[in-house]
Amino acid sequence: MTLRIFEALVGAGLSLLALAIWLWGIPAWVEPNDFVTVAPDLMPRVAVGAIGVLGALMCLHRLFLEPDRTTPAPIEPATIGLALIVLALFAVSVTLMLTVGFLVGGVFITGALTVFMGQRAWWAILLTAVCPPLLLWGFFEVLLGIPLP
Amino acid sequence: MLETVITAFSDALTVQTLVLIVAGVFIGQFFGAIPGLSALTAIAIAVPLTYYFTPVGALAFLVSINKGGTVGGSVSAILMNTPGTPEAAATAFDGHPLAKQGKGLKALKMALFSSVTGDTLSDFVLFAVSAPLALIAIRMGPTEMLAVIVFALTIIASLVGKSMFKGLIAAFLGLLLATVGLDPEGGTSRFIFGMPDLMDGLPISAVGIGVLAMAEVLRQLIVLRGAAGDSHLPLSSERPEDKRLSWAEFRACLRTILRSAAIGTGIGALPGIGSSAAAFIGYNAAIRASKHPETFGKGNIEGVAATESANSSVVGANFIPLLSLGIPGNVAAALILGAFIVHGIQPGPHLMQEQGRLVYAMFAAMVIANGTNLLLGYFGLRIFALAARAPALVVFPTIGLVCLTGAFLTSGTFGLPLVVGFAVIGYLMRALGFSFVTFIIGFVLGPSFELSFRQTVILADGDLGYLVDRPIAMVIFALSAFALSRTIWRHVSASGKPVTP
Repeated sequence: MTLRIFEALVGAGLSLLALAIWLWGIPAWVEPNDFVTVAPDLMPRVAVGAIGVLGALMCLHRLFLEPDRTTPAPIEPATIGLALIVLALFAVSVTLMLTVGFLVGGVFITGALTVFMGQRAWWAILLTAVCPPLLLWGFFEVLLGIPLP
Repeated sequence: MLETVITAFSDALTVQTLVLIVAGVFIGQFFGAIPGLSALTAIAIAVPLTYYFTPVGALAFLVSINKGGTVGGSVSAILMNTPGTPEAAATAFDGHPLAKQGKGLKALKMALFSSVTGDTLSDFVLFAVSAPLALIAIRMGPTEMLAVIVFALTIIASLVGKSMFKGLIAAFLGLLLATVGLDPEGGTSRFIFGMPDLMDGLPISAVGIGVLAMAEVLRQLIVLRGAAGDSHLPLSSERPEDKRLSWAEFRACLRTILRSAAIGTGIGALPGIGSSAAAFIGYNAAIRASKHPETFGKGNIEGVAATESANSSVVGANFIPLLSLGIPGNVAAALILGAFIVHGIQPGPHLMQEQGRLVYAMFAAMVIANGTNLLLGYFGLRIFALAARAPALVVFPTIGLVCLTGAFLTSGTFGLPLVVGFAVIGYLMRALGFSFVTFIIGFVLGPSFELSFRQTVILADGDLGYLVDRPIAMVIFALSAFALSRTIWRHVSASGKPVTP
């Protein structure tokens, strides 16, 4: 897929998403109020409307006016996969911090990311995993008295 | 006047503020020196910490990080040809060839001196201009403020990034997310999904950390995965003349430094253009003014002076619109605006009147930070050269954890999932080429925009003639329309060339 088509799809997708928020999202999530000068949904509608119109214009531009028709789209399945892995690691770390505590979640995320980055020496993984969370915990909890989860 | 200066320095010269200035400059230089990180990342992470500082200390800390970052960015640009920060990209043009010739230390010293000179000059312009400008701005009503915000958003959206459509979409996304919370007039809820934590809106610190810092960490984790650590060139050859920068060499570049400082200050005072553009414009101006333009790009030390002076002078000038109008000049200023708000201070025309002492103390802190930047930069060059090649597989996992910690400190347990969510948004914006600059500025300006709009509607009471009675606002609205039409026309007329609006 070329960049032109990819960006046209992104524009169309944004436009459709904005339309859906305009039709269903704003009525569902913005509480109406008849006793104010400016309705609470005006600003969200202005922003969503502008995104929808600009997305549609971007789509049309890329389809009919964009002269570059050869550059490939920046879609690399491997990169998307890696991004998903890192996000999953962060999600697990946040869950661990909220349920078990900062130190466990911290050791997990630094250790897991060090392995993800390519570190294979166990002592280096251990040092990177343990030292930063301990230092942060010591700095905030012990030194400054600011509680961490 | 003298009394004001003495009071400002006595407010800034407290132990806490001094420690925070030194720490801020060090952190800024350190983050700036590491490729992939920048002062912006450091500021985003540091905003939550400032909760616990005095207002003067908090602002001094953040401004010092910003100042240190511009100096630090030149280290990896010169020694590794990998700019630590985007604004240092032009520094590498002549800085790296100098390092290859064994004159890395000389180039680093020129970068440091020109950076601090440009920054100091720009700070003095800020001190001179912001109070008179605030006096003018204080006469402005909500309609004029609305017009100024619209003008700022128009300029920012049309200048940032390659695509105007993407810039505007990102700005409106920022405005949309700024509406989360309670409606400012009636107090009814908007997009809070039954979560009481969202009643006060999305916290700027969580949005900043997620979109700016964590998304960048995410990107770097993927880009640098499995990459071997880069090594940089030696600081200098053994020849003494390659290690030092003589007064004659500095004086020869003084005209270039002053020219670049003027360019950077002018650009910095306009919202949105930023220090990268200033660096390139300053560099091009130096080439045009030179008698030997062919030497640029091959190790001309004037090139280093031109870029570093220009990009550093943006830092002070960015505060001109922030302090006088409440409009941030760039993302760093937007994050610092967030810190002002955290401390219950609203930047804008009334700031000078209501918090004059604080503003002058901040100015004094800026002067002290410049001196600290010079000293720490001079004596810490070797440390920052080491930082430039700090192993990515230690740095980025640690920064990722620091981001989570920062999110917790400001927004509690609610901040943790929020920051991961905004990291996804920030990563997608980077991957799809949407400007996070316009997004953040749209998000920060959103509440002021809505408030001015509501006040204007109430004052106008349905009568459009009210706008005609506000000539200044009409002129600014007309300028916004002109700027937008001109940008659209420029893109349409260039549609035969590979330019994407």
